[in-house]
Amino acid sequence: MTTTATRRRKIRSPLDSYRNAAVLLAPTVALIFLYKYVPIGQAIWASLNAFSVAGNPLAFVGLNNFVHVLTDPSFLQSLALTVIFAAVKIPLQLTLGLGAALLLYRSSAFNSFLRVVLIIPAITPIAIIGIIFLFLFDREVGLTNAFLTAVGVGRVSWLTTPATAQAVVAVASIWRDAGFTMLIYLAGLTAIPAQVSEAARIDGANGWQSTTRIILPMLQRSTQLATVTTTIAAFQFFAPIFVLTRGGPQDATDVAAYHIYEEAFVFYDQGTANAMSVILVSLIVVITTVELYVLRSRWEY
Amino acid sequence: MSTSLTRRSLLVRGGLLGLAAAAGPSLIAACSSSPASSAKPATLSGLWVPYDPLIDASKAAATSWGAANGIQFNIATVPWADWDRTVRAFPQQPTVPDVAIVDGPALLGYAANDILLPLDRYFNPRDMQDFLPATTASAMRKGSFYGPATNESSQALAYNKDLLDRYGITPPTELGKAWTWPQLREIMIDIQKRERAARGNDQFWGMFLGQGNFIGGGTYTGLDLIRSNGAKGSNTYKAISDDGLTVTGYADTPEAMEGYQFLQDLYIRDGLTPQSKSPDFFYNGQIAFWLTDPDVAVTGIAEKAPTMKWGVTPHPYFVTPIVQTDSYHLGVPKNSPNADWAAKLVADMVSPTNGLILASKQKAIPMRKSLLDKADYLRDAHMQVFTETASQWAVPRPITPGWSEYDTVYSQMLADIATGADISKTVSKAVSDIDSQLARYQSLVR
Repeated sequence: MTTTATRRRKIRSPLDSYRNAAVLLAPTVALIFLYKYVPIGQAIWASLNAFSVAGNPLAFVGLNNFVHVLTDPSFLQSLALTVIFAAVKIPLQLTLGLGAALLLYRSSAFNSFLRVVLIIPAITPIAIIGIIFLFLFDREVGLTNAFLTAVGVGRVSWLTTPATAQAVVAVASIWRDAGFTMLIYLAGLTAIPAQVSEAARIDGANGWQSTTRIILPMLQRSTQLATVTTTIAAFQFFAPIFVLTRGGPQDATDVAAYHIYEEAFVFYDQGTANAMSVILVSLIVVITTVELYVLRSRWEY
Repeated sequence: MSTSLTRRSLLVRGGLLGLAAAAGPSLIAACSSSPASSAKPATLSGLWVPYDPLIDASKAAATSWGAANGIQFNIATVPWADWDRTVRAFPQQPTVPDVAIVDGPALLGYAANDILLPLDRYFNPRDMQDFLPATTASAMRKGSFYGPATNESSQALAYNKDLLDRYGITPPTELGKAWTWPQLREIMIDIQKRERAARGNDQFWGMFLGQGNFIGGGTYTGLDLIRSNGAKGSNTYKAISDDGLTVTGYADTPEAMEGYQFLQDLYIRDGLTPQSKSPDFFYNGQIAFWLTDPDVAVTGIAEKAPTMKWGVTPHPYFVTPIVQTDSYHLGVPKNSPNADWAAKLVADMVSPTNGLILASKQKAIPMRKSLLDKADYLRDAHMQVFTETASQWAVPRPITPGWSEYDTVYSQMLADIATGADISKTVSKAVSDIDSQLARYQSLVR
């Protein structure tokens, strides 16, 4: 009788997998920790200290910077502006992104072309967006006023009147980011099983009923993602303001991100600037947490 | 016992040698009383702004010293937007350039923050007397001199000669006959009305104010208008307290408020100035007068409107002729490892010989009085008014250690006023903001 030597298979324990995973992830985690969480820690530390005009730490002041910032009317105004800006940007951008996705999600060469056209602003460097809008809305040489003058309306001081400057900045932001929102919704739409739409059609649902009662609820996760990313973008909006208005006219576009930039790099008050940053980030975390909860998906399919 | 060289003994001896080599220069440097007197370096590094005429001129001015000392001078550039904060961060940096271009009005702040080396011992009293006064005022702190100017700037009113000839207007060229602002306003209203009627559109204006980066002209040009409404030595004329920390009572005087109103009227009520930052209007023949500095006018017009016939008339004023000048300066970071050599290079770059090279390569006004009649290009009809203005009417911009803060808030204030903001509220807020920012420098000044 022949005995067949059997190879003993080494049984891997779950611990082996975790260890291997840890080893493989370690470099990336280390980099994330070093370039993301260490600076956050430094910012929090800086917010608890007073700094000289030369940028040297002077003394630990605890929460004094926060008290100063939260009683500073100009920072509170910049926060309020930012919240209003976000409140305008989020619904408009989601509506535009969803509308574009619903119109363009069927496969065709024309739809593919339009999708690319709509995504181009989202991949254009944001400073370039600012320059484009400067060219469009300059009072004397801008294309918009050239058109308005030609049709007899007359020049509008787009960038030098507070209300219109705010509108231009909002339009620049929404125009740039709507394409990205469209991508999020396109991904969500392609994940909806075709049988669901077919079943609805068989049951007699019209287009509006199909969209509002079937597609939109099934896009809940996409809406959640789009809302959170748009909120974060709204609160961090900076570059076009730097190019177009520098926070003016009359502080009309002095949103929190720009205000913090000025505090840190023009006025060189590192303690105050970092305290403002901590407050802004905390506000973003709170708002996005609420959004994640309120917009959570309540069903699976 | 063996006396042969073992691996262990080699390592020990090598380590001791290495320690000595590392500690030696530090010990020597610590014992030395001069600024980082190090062995002669093979190269010196410079940090400049990305302005080609200045870079080319600086390299030319440094050539003879570099050749005589066997030291190569290399220049790197920093983006405009990062310039000020890069210089401010020098004390925290492990490596810094040996020489840096710094902005004249910002020099006092850098000196107060101990960023730059005092350069008194590298210049003699004759040099200090020879430098144009408006270029040294901002470079002095507590009796020490922190860096010579690369050139002097100036401001005057460039005008489109063909256009003015068409309307029979001959602007003065002598400083003593300079127009006042009200006189200029009347002339501009007339020209603008007639020219717009001739063109059939509103794409023509009387004047463009400044270099094109600020509506309202910014502190460099817009503030000239305001300060000129004060008698010489008055608070309006001074624009800031003597310690450079307070603008209340200086930037909000009744005369200053009149000046702000005039500025706003130029843009809004009279519509004589475009609400746009583009300086191309002059090159395109859409502007009659351009209040600017010689670099921008001479170089810009030569490049972009080479066939234009243009002239220069003195800067207008209300009560007291005044033109803010001063330009780039050469500074030596205090923590440069080659500070002594760098300071010697700086001193040589602004010597009478090399100072002329430095200015003439930029077609700019030299930093020394003795050089004002040495360069032929200064006698050019276009440069003559700029040069006379620099020698007779020039004052430095408000001298304050918090220049970045002052400049930003004040320029934004002028832009808001120029675009129609309530003057009283805008000035009140800006003055309060500036004072609270400058208060942080009290311990450095008082």
